[in-house]
Order: sequence, then structure tokens, then C-alpha cells
Amino acid sequence: MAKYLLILIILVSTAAAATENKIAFLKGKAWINGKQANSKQVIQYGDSIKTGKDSLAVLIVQPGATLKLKSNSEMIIKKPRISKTINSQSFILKTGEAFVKAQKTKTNRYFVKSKNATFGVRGTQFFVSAIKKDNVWMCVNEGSVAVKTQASKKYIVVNAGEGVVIDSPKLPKARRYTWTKNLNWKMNGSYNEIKDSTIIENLDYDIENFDYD
Amino acid sequence: MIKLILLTLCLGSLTTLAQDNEPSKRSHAIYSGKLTILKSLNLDQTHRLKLKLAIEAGSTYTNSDHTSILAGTYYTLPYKQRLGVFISSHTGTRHNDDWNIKQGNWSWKDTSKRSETILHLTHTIKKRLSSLPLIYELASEIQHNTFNEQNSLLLGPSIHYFHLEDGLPHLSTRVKLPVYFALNFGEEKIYKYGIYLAEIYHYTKKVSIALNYEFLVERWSTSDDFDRLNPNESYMSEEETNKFSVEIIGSF
Repeated sequence: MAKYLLILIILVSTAAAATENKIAFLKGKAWINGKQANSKQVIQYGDSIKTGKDSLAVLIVQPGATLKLKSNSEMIIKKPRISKTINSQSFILKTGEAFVKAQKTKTNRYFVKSKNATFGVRGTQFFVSAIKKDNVWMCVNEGSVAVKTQASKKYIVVNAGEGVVIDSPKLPKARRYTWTKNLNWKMNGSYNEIKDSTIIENLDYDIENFDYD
Repeated sequence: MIKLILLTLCLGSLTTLAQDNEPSKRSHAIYSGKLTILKSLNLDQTHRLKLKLAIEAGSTYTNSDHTSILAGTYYTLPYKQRLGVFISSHTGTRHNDDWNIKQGNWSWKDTSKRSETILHLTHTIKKRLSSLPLIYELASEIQHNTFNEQNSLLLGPSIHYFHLEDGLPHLSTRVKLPVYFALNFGEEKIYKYGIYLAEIYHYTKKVSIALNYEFLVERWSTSDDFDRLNPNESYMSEEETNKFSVEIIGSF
């Protein structure tokens, strides 16, 4: 009897662990709601996760989203809205940069909101940067993302290899960015395997605007 | 027979005289330093002005001083186009009519103290070639010299290759082929042409340092003095200039 009880407890705890949101990887420092966090720590809906300088955190949010937060980033995990047909999960990127990988299903919808735009994830992998004061950068590695600014009623679809810069209330235009391929999209592995060294401030340098004479 | 010999000698001496009266073909090097400041002003989301100030000083053909100052603005147009309006002031510039005779001797006039004002109207199309860090550009410019009312057209196709590191240019190389057309002066439609090379070190996003080399061929056609004394003759003489300059570019 005790043996069966033990097996049941293990199965239940494993099942529970599989449905828990947690910090799957942490390098450096992170805080959950202002309190210092550690690797494997459970995250609750509504929590604010913040990474420190030279830090990297990988979060798993059930049922199928993985987020990689770069240093000096802050993200809020909202409570999902569950209906009969669609489960809608939102993340608010307050500042910093995040890679998002969302499992494509018929019933799960994911949204990432930044200060001036909402990104509707359609089962995909994308990167969003909200470190600059006046604009937000987003690019897609796999799948597609619907982008809507706070002021617009319409949205545009950004496909793999494309990106947008949102620097006004108007809907941006998606275009191909070569730097999309230079981002480190890996979510699993050691720190050196998953860290991304892209400096976003350098990416908006348009060589067409360099004037010489 | 003697008359024939004398006639031959006279014709020969006349030919010799005419050659002494023409500018001889020369090749020389000149050096200069330049400072260029560019300041962008966004008028709205799609329209932009770029103010430009350029100051240059160096040696001229006769190793005396040459200075120039240019100021004006670019205005961004759709489809990667740009219009520019500038005014410049120069010293040390030479023209066809500066080939003068003085006390029986032909020479170039010393223009190192002469100031000339030129008005410039430019049009540029600039485009990046696919995903390569390579920009091609076609610049055209109308110049009006208020000193002698001469008008010129400059066409200058160029390519500019950027060596990028982490998305920012580290070094870039530019090649330009300028051709100058005389619109209302001289006997040669193309009075100047050459090749221009620049190697630019992008110290920061805002400051660059350029090493420039320009090889120019200038074609001098008949001056007023020569025409007055030799109304039935003309000449075309070429002069090659190798210009080396260092330029600091600040873009804010």
C-alpha cells in the first residue's frame, strides 16, 4: 500500500511539476516581485521577473511558452484567459529584451505587450527589444507574428526573417533584416550556448544614411 | 631653294613659339586637410534636412595656399533621393583665362589670393545593393561660378563598401569617377575627369576619419590672351593632379 502511495505521490508531483511555470535556467541575478530568485524557482501568474546586469534567465510558462530574458529586462507573466475554444496567455515586456518561443497549437494564443505595441504570437519564435526609449524592435525567426500598435485598430503580419521597428503610433512596415540571423535563438544548453551578444543599439545604423560628401 | 629653306625655318619657328605659348603638360601632387560637419534635422517622419559645413585648406598648383569653405543643406526626397543646395568660397582656383602673357612671358596667374564664390545644386540617388554592405550612388551637380559666370555639370557615380563589425561600419572604401562638363565655356566639353578613392575609418557612429586620394586630369583650352594674340590658333593642354587629403567627418 505504501509503495503504491509513494508511486502515486511521485506521479502527481511530476504531473504538477510539468504544469508549473518556473525559471528553467539562470545565470547571474534575477528577482521575482523584488525578491531575489534562484534557478528552478516556481513562477506564479502575475509575477514580475527582473534580470540584473550580465544576467540571463530562461522561463518556462505552461502550457507551451519558453522565454529567454536578457540582462536588465523585466517581464510580467499575466494570468491566462481560458475559454472553451482558446487559451490566451499574455506577457508584458516592461523593459529589456526577450526571445519568445511558443508552441503552436489550435487552442493556445500568446501575446507579448510592450510599451507601444502588442505582438500576437501564432506559434512561433521571435525576439523583441524594448530597451530603447522611443522604439521597440521585433523580428521573427520562425512562424509569424501579428503586430498591432496601441493606437491602431489594424495589424500587420510579420513573417520569418522579417522584422519591424515601432517608433510611432502608426503601423510599421515589415522588412527583412539580416541581423535576424545573427541572434542566438537557442533556449537550451549551457550559458555560452544560449547567451546572445547582439547589441541592439548598433543594429539601427543604416549605411545608406552615412554621408560623406 | 633658299626661299624654300627660309620658309621652312619660319614655319618651324612659328610652331615653336606657339608651343611656348601653351600651358605645358604637367603632373604634380597637392595636399590638403578637410573638416566636414553634418547635422541632421528631422522635419517630420518622412522629411529630413541635413546641414553641411566643409572647410578645406592645402596647397595648390604653385604650392601656395588653397582654401575653401562650403555650407548648405541636403533635403531628403522619396526613393532614396536627395537634393542639395550649397554655396562655397574658394581661393587658388585656376581657369582657362588665367594663362596670361606678361612682359613677353607666358605663365599661369597666381590666384592664391583670389576668392571665388560658387553656387551648387545637387541631386543624389543612393541605394544599397541587396543585403551586401555596398552602396551605389549617382550624384549630379550644377555649379555656377559667380566670379566668371561659368556653369559646369558634374556627374559622379560611386560605390561605397562598408566593412561591418557587430552591425557598425569599422572601415569603408569608396570609389568615385567624377566627370566635369563645361556648359558655357572652353572648347572641351569634358574639361576635367578622374578617379577618387577614399578609405574611411569609422571611429564612432558620429566621427570618421578619411584618407583621400584623387587623380584628376584637367584640360586647359585657349585663354583670352592667347586667342587675342593668335586668333587663328587654339590649344588643348592636359594637367594631371594627384591630390592627397585627410578629412575628419562629424555627423550629428
